[in-house]
Amino acid sequence: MRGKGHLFVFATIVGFSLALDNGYGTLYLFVFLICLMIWWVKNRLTLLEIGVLLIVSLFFSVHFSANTVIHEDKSYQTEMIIGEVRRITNRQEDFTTFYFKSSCQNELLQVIDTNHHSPDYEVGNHYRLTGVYQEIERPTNPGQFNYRSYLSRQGISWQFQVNESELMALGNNRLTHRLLRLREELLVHMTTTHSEFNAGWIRSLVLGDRHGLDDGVEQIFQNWHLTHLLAISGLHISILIALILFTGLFVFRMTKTSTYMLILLVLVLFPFIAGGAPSVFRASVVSAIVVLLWFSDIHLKVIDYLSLTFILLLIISPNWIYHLGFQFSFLITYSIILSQKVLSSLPHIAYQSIYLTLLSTFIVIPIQIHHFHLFNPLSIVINVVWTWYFSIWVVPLAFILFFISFIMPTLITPLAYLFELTHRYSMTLLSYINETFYFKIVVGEFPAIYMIIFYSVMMLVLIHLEKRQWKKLKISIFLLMMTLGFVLIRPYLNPYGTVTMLDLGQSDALIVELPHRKSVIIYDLGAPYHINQQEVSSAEYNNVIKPFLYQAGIQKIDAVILSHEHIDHVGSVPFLVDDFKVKRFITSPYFEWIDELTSVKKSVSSIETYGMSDTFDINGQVFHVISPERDYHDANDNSLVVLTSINELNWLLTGDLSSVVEEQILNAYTQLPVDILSISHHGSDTSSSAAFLDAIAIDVGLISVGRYNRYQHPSDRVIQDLIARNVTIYRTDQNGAVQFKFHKNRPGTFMPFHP
Amino acid sequence: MRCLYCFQIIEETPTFSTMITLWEQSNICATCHAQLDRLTDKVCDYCSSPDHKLNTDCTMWKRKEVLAHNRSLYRYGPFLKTVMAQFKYRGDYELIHLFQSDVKYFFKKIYADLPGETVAVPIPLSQERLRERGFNQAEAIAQLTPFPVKRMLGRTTSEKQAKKSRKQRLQMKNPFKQIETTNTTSLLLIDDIYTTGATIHQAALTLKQEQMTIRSFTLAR
Repeated sequence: MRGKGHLFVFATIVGFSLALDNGYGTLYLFVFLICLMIWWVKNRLTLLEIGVLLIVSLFFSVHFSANTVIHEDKSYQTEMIIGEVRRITNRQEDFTTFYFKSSCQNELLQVIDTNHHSPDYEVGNHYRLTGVYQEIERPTNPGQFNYRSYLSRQGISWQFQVNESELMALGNNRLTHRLLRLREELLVHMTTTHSEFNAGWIRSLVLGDRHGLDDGVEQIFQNWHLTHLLAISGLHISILIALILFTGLFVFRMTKTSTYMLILLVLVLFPFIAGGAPSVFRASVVSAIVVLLWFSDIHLKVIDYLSLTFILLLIISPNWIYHLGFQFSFLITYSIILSQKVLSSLPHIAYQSIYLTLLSTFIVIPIQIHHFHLFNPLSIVINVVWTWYFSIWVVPLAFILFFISFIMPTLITPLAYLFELTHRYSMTLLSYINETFYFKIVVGEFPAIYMIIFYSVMMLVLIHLEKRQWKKLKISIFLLMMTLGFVLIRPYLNPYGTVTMLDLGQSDALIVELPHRKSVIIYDLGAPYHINQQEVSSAEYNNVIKPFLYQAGIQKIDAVILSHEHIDHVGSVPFLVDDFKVKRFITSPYFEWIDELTSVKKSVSSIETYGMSDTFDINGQVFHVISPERDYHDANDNSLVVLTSINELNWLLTGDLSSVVEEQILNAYTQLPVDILSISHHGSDTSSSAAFLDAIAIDVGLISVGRYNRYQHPSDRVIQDLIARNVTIYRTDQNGAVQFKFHKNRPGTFMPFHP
Repeated sequence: MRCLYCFQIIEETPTFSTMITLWEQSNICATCHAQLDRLTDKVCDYCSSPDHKLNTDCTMWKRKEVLAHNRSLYRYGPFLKTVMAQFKYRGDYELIHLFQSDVKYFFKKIYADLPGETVAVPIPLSQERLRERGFNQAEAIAQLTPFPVKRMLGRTTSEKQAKKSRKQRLQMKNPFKQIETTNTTSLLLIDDIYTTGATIHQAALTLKQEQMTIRSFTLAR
């Protein structure tokens, strides 16, 4: 099997997809079996090798199924549980969350403790907890992070809210726990011996803890697809090994055997000290196997070492297959190993590093877009430079600074000064580049079929490059670009349009995307007000609105219509204008530009205002303004009410207007043909009077309202009135986001996120 | 898998083009393979000689018009000489597999325009010689080709050719006789080495008929 280790990866993936039971499993198995047949017939594999591969597939299909948990309803049960803290996931001043293995039920729980008098939880210690089981939050909007399935992949299906806790026993001194505690001590030690800036970087690059980095550094690195430099991976491990080799062999004059022994020891301990991310484990295990086999007679190929690691890691922790870093690091490492022939044919190291950067950028594009929905094309250039800078300067120096703070603390000052000087300067440069040149392409989803096409074409490109078939290479590169281009223009070819009422709790947002991306229109974009911090919260924007727009591949917004100036209708607009290009702002003449919107007002050149009987047009989509007729001296009543026709249905968007204005509207318009009404003011009793509902005779009512809100919206009276008039009601507190999807020539349907 | 000749482990590194198709188990390591001096297309059109200045027999043979042409795979260099000695004279039959993939590739990609009805005819050994060696090296090579093998030739004498000088060889009486017939019009004579061309041409002369094209393939030239 020498040199054929990558076949194990195929076998593993087949096993995993079989266990996933999403329809792809049988397809993959079928393709795999055909390949095995061909390999056997063509004398490429022996029967024994085929048997081993099939056993691997089978093993993982069983191994992975064993990891999914059966769901049994136990929400709101109060219970006392005893168990052990496995991992602390977040420790803040006012709360701690951790993974807890309860010993009586033998289940893993996510525990949240908001009590002030609770003990300081330590990994490995045993506690008695009294509290309530809670369901883990489900996503309620398209594109939103699925925390529940994230935890369920770790084997956690319940959250436990602690009321009382008590330390039962100190953890047995398991090595892993001691190492974790050692890590915490090392983190503190770095903070005390180094300047804040240096400590932050050493902690990140040596100990895998990014909390010490300046705000925004991670965002900048993500913007430029540089996160791989922050995550401890093969690069860092090889620098560490090189440092130990050098000092061991040349400074301390150790024998080769004892130096290798030392490296082996470091490689075993390092992943735990470095925070235990999959990339660290991957790199350490590969290197450890290489060193280990140096002592023996067995010599494998690099690809076999890597494949061995792949399987070992997944046996230990099957969930890593979902881990973005895991996928990235293996995909890139495999593609580099398979490039051997290409690399040896490139004449100069400069070409080689350009090739490697392009390769590692392109090979992860689909996964990158699948996860983040965007891509920064200029990052390719920055990546070459910064990878070099990190590998020959930042990472080695960080390790040296880390070590000499124990061995020769006197040496710290000059070196630390040098490090801080250069690195501060380069970070300033990077953030300047980020401010000036950051340019993202929001792609949206990367459908599975395009992924298959992309990787097949990518494979062709690499094969032709390897075989130096230049003509075919040109064609395949062209095809690759075509594939990417197709993914990019996909929204413009899409004959389907959507109207989405997002679930932002007690805030409103309605997003219209017309077929073929003719225009993207937003009516209101609220945010909750953070009472403790006295400011508008950006959480809803970051967790719901931005992911929604990104996954839909939206980068430009043709118009934002603001009904009135309440935070629950406009609060997220300042965040929106930071990330998206908004062409037009439309509101009523009586809209008051509150302080929170100062930045918005500055960023737009003109704001259009319209009153009753006006019409405005957004790329052919006509809106009739129904209200306000005059200044009602009340923000809610001054709401800009618009009527527009989408998919041959009339939509009336009402903001927060009250029955007073409804009456005015009824007086002004004897006939108001409405099919779909966004129910005013979260279904409050003060709006949607029976008379108004009678007059407009709607089919569907959309209510944007928070779960368990303090105003007891929507009012029973409104709900009763709607039911009595046979109106179909969709409400965000029960349905999550409500999406109306329609084909440009066919009637559409309402698709609530949770039916 | 180890190299049949030097017993080194054969390194197979997958690349993008081989990761899916995989590769056939090779019998020869890269170092040994590199020493086998494959002939390029810059050889004589008729006899495949890589350095024609030294070969004056070619024009003479050509004039006789019994053989269409000869094709050879390797130059008969020092490395191949030792390999052939071990193969032929010391009876290491397994070594034939060293050439397996090269021969296969040669007939698939380089020398692919032969008619499908072609029959491979190995140059025979005398009974005495065959008993001595245990196998006929030409037949072993013939079995690597994609064509059916037919023993159409027999020996009349049993003199060792390798012991003869060039002049002696050229003046030799034809040692072959036809022992079987065929109705195909395309024959491919197979031998291990083409030196002067005498053997091949005498064999061709024995088999020559109207409307019949006779070509030859030897491992070394």
